[in-house]
Amino acid sequence: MLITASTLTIIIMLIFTQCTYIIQTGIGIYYEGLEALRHRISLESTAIEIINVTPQSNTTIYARIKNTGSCSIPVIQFNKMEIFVIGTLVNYTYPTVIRVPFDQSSIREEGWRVVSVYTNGVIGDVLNPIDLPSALSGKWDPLEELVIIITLSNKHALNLTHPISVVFVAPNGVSTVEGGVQN
Amino acid sequence: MITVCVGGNDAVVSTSFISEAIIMIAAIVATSVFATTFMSGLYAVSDANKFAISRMEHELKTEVKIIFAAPVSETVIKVWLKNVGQSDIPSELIGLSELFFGSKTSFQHIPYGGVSLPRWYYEFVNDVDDDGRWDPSETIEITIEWPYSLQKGDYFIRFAIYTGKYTDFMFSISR
Repeated sequence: MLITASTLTIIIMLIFTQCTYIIQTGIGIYYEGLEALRHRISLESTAIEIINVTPQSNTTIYARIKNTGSCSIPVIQFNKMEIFVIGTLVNYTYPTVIRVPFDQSSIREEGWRVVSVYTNGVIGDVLNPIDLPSALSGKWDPLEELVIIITLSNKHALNLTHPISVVFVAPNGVSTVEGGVQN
Repeated sequence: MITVCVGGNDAVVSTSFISEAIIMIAAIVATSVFATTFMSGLYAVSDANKFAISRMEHELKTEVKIIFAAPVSETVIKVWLKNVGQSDIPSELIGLSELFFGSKTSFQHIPYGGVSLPRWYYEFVNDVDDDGRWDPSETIEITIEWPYSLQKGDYFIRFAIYTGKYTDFMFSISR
């Protein structure tokens, strides 16, 4: 009787341990899957479009970029966005690429900053407003357009008789490209 | 006769009790040995599963993307890569990545660093938290130094990280 009882107890304990392990693993996999799905959804719901690119001088370019996706991009992630300017430098004949970092406070010689935000063609944004000119808080929400100014150093002054293009990359790697000519 | 019978019953009860006790102890020992073996086997399987799941999770969460690449001179190509995964990549593992570059029809493996060309090296251009690790959303810039002048045509780049995941990019030169 005692032998049967102890054997049964051990078997029940083993089954219980195994069930606990299976449930724990299952929950872990479920959460990992959920996180991966969230990441994938964020990638697929991010879309941006450069509306226009207008060089003002050979070191200054204005660009208007629209959030055409369905998710917002917080201002604190702007330093994880990338801008590349493709153009031909003065005194050169072949095009080159210049990576321009985010620099809202214009500390660097070269950088890009947000000048204004438009919503449906009207200046300003109501939803999660971006506090300009500091741009320390707020979000770039869907359908909002950022007007940005890209400042290049004199070393990277562009020859505007050649075409230029701007590549804009979101923090998650989603990118868009648009060319521009001087007005 | 009665005395003998009583004494005999006592002896039978006593022998039976001892035998049962020995069998019980043997059974308990056997069950314990079985349980220990079974449990250690179960834990080994459990650990192997956990390791496999953790590795799979790490591989799934580690992803990079070439966001742009272009020649900046006749022999130098710049490649910008963004960590678009959910895991950070230690800087010492970036150098262990594999880079392939060349014309679309004949690309070759480019060694990391070294003194002879071709070679590639990298630098962080967007290490937001300055921790020396390639965190999600951060960007590195790779410079490929090519021994010959790049000719007109299509060029192919493949960058494979230590997990084996890779990202491709193509660009053309029209000069």
